[in-house]
Amino acid sequence: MLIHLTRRKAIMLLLAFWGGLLVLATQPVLGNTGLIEPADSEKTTSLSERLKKRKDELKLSLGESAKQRLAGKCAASQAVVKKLKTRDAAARDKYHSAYTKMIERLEIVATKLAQQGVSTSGLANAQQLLTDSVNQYLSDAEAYRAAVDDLANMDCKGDLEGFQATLVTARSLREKLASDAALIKTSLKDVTAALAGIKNSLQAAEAGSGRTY
Amino acid sequence: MDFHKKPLKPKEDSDFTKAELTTELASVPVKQQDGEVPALANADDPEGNPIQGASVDDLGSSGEAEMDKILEVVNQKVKSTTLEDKPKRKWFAFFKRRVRPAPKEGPQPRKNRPVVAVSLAVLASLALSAAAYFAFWQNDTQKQADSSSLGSQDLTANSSVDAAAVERLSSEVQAEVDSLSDSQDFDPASLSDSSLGL
Repeated sequence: MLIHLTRRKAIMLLLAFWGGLLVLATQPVLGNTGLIEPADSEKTTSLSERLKKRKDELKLSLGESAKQRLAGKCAASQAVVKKLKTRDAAARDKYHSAYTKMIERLEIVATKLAQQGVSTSGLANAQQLLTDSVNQYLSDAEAYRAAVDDLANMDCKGDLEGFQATLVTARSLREKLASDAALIKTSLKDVTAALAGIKNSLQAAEAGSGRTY
Repeated sequence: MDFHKKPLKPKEDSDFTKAELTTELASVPVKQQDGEVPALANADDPEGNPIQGASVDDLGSSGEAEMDKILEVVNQKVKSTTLEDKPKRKWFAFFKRRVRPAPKEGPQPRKNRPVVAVSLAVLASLALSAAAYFAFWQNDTQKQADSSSLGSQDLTANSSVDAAAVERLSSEVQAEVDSLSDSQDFDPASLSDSSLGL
C-alpha cells in the first residue's frame, strides 16, 4: 500500500507529521501549573553571539596588565569552573524538583478546595505570586547555567574580554539566584498564611456540621 | 470495409459500382473554409468519420450532378462535425486520470524511481511518530507518578481536602523549601577571583 503513494501524498504525510510534532512540542511541559520551561539559549544562539551580547551589555575595557594576568591564568580557572558546573547542576536539579512539586501540590489542593466550595481567592493570589517567583528563578537559573557553561568551554585566551564579561555575568546571575530563592521563601509564607485561613474555615465547618473526613 | 489494404485497381467507368464509390469518398480529405485539412479518421469508426453514412442512394443518376451532390453532402457532414468539437477546458484535465504511455518494447533504461525514497520517508515518519508518542507518553506517566507521590493519602483523585490535610500540606511544603540551603548553594565566593585562581 505504501509503495503506491505518490510524491504529493508523501509530502502531505510528512507535513502532517511535522505539524503534529509542533503541536506536541508547544504544549506546556508542566501542565497547568503556570510554570515556564525556559528555552535553552545554547540551542538558539551561538557562543560568539552570546559573548558579543555580554560584552555589549557590560562594556568592559581591560588594561594591559589585566589582560596579561587573565591570559596566564584563565585556562587553569576553567578547570575550577568545570567542577563548579557539576556541583551547580546537582543543586539546580534539587531546586527545580522542590519548586515544581511544591507548585503542583498547591495547585491540586487549591483545585480540590474550590470543588468543595471553599473560597480560595486569597490562596490563589498568594499562589500566583509564588509561581511568578519560581518562574523568575527558573529563568535566571537557565541563564546562569548557560553563562557557566560558556565560561568553562570558551577559548579564553582568544577572547579575554569575552571571558571577563561572561565571568561578571555569571557572578551577577549567581547572586540573583540567591535573591530569587529568598523571594520564593517569602512568597511561600503568604501561601502558608492563606492555607492557615482555609484550615480555620474548614475546622469551623467541620465543627458546625459534626462531619469528619 | 478494408480500404487500407489494397489500392483500387483502375477500372472502366462501367465497372465503377456505388459501393466502391462510397469507399473511395471516405478517404478523400475535404478542404475547409478556414483552410484546415482535417486528419483522416478511421473509416470504420462511425464517430471519427464524418462522411460515414453518406449514402450514394441519395444521389441522382448522372455523373457530374451526382458528384456535386456527394461533395455537398460530405461538406455538410464535415462542417457539422467540426462545429460539434468544443474547445476543451484545461482545468477539467485535473480530474482526468492520466493515461500512462504504453511501455516501449525491448530493454528499457533503469530509472531512479521515487518509490524507494517515498517508502523510506514514510517509514522514517512512522518511526519518528512512534518515538514522539513514546516520549510524550513517558512524560505523562512521569507526571502522574509525581502527582501520586505528592500527597500520599491527601491528594488522591476522589478524596476531599479537610483541615488536617491542609495543615499537613502547609507544613510539608514549608519544610521542603526550608531544607534548601540557598546561602550555601549560591555562595558568591565560588566564582570569586581567589576561588578561580585569577
